Amino acid sequence: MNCQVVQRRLLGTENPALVPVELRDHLADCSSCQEWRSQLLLIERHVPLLPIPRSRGKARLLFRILQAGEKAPTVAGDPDGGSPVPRLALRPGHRFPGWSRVPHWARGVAAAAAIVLCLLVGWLAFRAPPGSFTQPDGHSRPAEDPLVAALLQCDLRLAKAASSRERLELLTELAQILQEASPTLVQADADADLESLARLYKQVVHDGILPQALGVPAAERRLVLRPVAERLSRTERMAERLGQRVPVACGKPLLNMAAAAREGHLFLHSLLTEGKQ
Amino acid sequence: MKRWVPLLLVPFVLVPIGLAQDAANLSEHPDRLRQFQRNYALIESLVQGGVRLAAANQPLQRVEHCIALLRSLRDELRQAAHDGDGPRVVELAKHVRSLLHEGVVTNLELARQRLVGEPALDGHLTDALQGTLRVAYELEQEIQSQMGIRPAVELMVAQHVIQEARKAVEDLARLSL
Repeated sequence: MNCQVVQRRLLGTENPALVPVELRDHLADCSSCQEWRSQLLLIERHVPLLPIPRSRGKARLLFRILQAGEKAPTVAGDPDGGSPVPRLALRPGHRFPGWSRVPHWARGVAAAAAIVLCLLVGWLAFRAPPGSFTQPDGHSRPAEDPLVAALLQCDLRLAKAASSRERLELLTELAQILQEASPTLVQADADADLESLARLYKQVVHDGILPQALGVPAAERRLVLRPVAERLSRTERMAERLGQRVPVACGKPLLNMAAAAREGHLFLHSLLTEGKQ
Repeated sequence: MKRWVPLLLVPFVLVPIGLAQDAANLSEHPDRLRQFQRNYALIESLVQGGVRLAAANQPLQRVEHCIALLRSLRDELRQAAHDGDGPRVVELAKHVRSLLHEGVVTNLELARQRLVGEPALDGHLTDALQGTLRVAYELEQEIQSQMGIRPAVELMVAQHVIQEARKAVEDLARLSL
């Protein structure tokens, strides 16, 4: 038995301190192997004292379980130089221990509870934008007033409108924006605000739509005025219907709005029939 | 049993959605009402301004009406800055920018093109430019002074937005005068 064989056998033993019987004769005579063994024992004693590097082993293990069946990942940064990780695969149909003991109805309830919780959290998160949208008085409110934004957009287009036709259409849109704001005020029982809204609507029809309609060339009137008249007529019907269904205080401004719309479409119809004659 | 599980889930899913929508609707109305009441002066200015803009045939007349709207926005913005209502300051500053870019600058450009060779009307253009810049400077000064009292990101954003729009008017002024 030569030195190389003895040293390999010593490396292969579980505990180098316990020398196998067949190696003892050689070790008793060979000083070089005795020296080699004492070095090995020294290393073996110091191994438990080596610092253990931080490990993401748990996360990797979970990843491997979830990725079972795919290619085994390589552990980068491991002291062993990135050796391939042995593949762990779950048997088909295998469940986590304990899950199979949970009854079906309980699983359904758990899933439903999870969904409800997610919806609730989602609703709370998206219902109101975060902190900065709190007013000084403590009330939360939407970031932007859509009514102001819509009116401003209409004004900006009016500032660039080149023809009577375009202006008339934009003024009709302006009136429509105001009319569409009325249901919110009705639902809030804000009769005084509804009154103000109706007054503005009337102003747009009287001071805006009607004078602009007169400026539309006779040849274009049929094409331009008819859709505007129809829209005013629709507004009249809607405002009248709504005005009759709500309490008198809110109904009156709505009926005023309907009257202004009626006046508008009757005037436009008169212009249309004038054009025919 | 497995077939029943999705059916059992339906009410659990639909009920919270319905409740959430109802709650959102209920909370939306007071918000919209508050907005309407608080913005009424501005709404009135925008409606009357729209009617006047429709009646104005000349670009310089339109600029005048836009400046009137700018003043309304300035008053609201001043109040919002004073109240420390940052989001409203930003909202109004964006409206100021839109009005300066799309209302004032567009019509001043148009007026400048039409007034070539008509020195008698140059004075009107100068007045319109100066009037616009005055309102823009007032706004910036107002925001600047509020930033001295309580520095806020929203005020900085508003300042930047208005500065940018004001520079567009200044560029036009340099070309015109």
